[in-house]
Amino acid sequence: MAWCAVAVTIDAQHLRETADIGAKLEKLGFKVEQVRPEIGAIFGAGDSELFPKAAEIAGVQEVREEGTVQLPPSDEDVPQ
Amino acid sequence: MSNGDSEEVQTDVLLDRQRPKPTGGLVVVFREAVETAAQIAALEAGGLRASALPVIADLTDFMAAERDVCAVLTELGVAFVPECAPERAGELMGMLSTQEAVADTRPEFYVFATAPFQDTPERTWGVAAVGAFDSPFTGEGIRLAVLDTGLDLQHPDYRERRVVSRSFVPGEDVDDLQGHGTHCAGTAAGRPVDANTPRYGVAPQAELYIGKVLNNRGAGRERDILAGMAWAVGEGCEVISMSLGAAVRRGETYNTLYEREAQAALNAGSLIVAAAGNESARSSGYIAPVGMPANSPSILAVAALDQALEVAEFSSGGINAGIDGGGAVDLAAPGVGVFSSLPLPREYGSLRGTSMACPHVAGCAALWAESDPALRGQALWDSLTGSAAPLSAPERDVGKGLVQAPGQGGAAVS
Repeated sequence: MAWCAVAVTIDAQHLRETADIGAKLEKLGFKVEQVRPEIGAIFGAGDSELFPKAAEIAGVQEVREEGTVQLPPSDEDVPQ
Repeated sequence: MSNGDSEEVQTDVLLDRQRPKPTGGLVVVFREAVETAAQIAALEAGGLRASALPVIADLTDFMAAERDVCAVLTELGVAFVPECAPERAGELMGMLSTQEAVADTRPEFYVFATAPFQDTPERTWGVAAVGAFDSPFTGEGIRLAVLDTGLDLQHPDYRERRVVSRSFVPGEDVDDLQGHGTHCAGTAAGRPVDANTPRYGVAPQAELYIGKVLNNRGAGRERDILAGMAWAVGEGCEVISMSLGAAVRRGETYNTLYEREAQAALNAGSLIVAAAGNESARSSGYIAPVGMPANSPSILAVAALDQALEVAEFSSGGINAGIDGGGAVDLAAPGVGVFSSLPLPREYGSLRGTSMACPHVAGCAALWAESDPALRGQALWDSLTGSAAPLSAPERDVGKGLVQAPGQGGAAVS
């Protein structure tokens, strides 16, 4: 069991159902924090062991840990 | 290759044409511990006139004034023989090689600086290299968004300036404590208030829209970056600069969510420009693929160049180009020794990276957008790539070449 930030991508044919899919994810045990139907994105948090179950929901294209960006320290010798 | 009995010397014509060109003069190297008088005597034995120069710094003035007198640099044990006819030069080389005091005589060659661009009191090398310094356009009337660590709003160059800003980082305002955002915004659209500070902004009159999507430790979440992109598009920004990214693996495709957001942006007339990434170690032979989100097909990916317009050591390349239509480098821009603004008390400083190259392209995009109101979205993209100055490096590393500003009366690089 690993609780993590989650990004769910909805496939292009189900963008209008993004909010409904968010509700289904909550029923599965995910915490839904942001729903973006215009790009078919749902962000939240959840147990990574639930990812395969979430991926079975109709219209879900991908379930994964949310991506992050990390800049290096602000230093002239380190490429930014 | 031999052809019958006659030996043919094969030469590489291209290399041959690029060989260093002789000045027509000679360089004479004397043996160790040879007295100055003996050095001059050796030259005079060849019918030359010679004078001793104890101070090397006087050489340029001396050779300008004494066009047919050899300069003997006593400190180095070297003499420069002025330009003479090729036959005479050959004759002198033969004669001088027989002199006891002379260790070596060889033709002098022209030497050219390998770094054609450098900062001056008037402007940074990057502003010059992209042609912005010679462009009549300034970005006026164009909304340029920088999605980064925010901006130091107390910096003298921004304190009195209208800046639209919004933070997408929970618990942090737009103030930049990290520095990266203030540097990138400066390169894109900085405008120094002190006349003694060189121009470092490519589009100094553009309207700055600052979206803080990375926190003060330089970290950011995908959802906040996407929200910042949507905000900038909603604000009607013609150009959106994103000097941020994460490394991807060889063969890895782009992120669907970034691509959808970028496609919507292009359709709405907003061009998104992003840093290609800094994961290469080119001197070791390793070229990293363009990172995410620059690898999205609808985001213009920017590589970094040094002052000699060579690909920067760290700059990621189009290793994954063609995978689902993404992964390519689209343009290159100055990304080494880039002078720009930094949060107080540092105020200014130089940084390197594709993060520094990206806002050069964003600034140029603002200039193009100002030059023609029809240049928005994909049309703006096409103008930038279509006007780039070609470089010798492969397209994999620099895309269409060095980004160029409009209306400068010809490319800054030929």
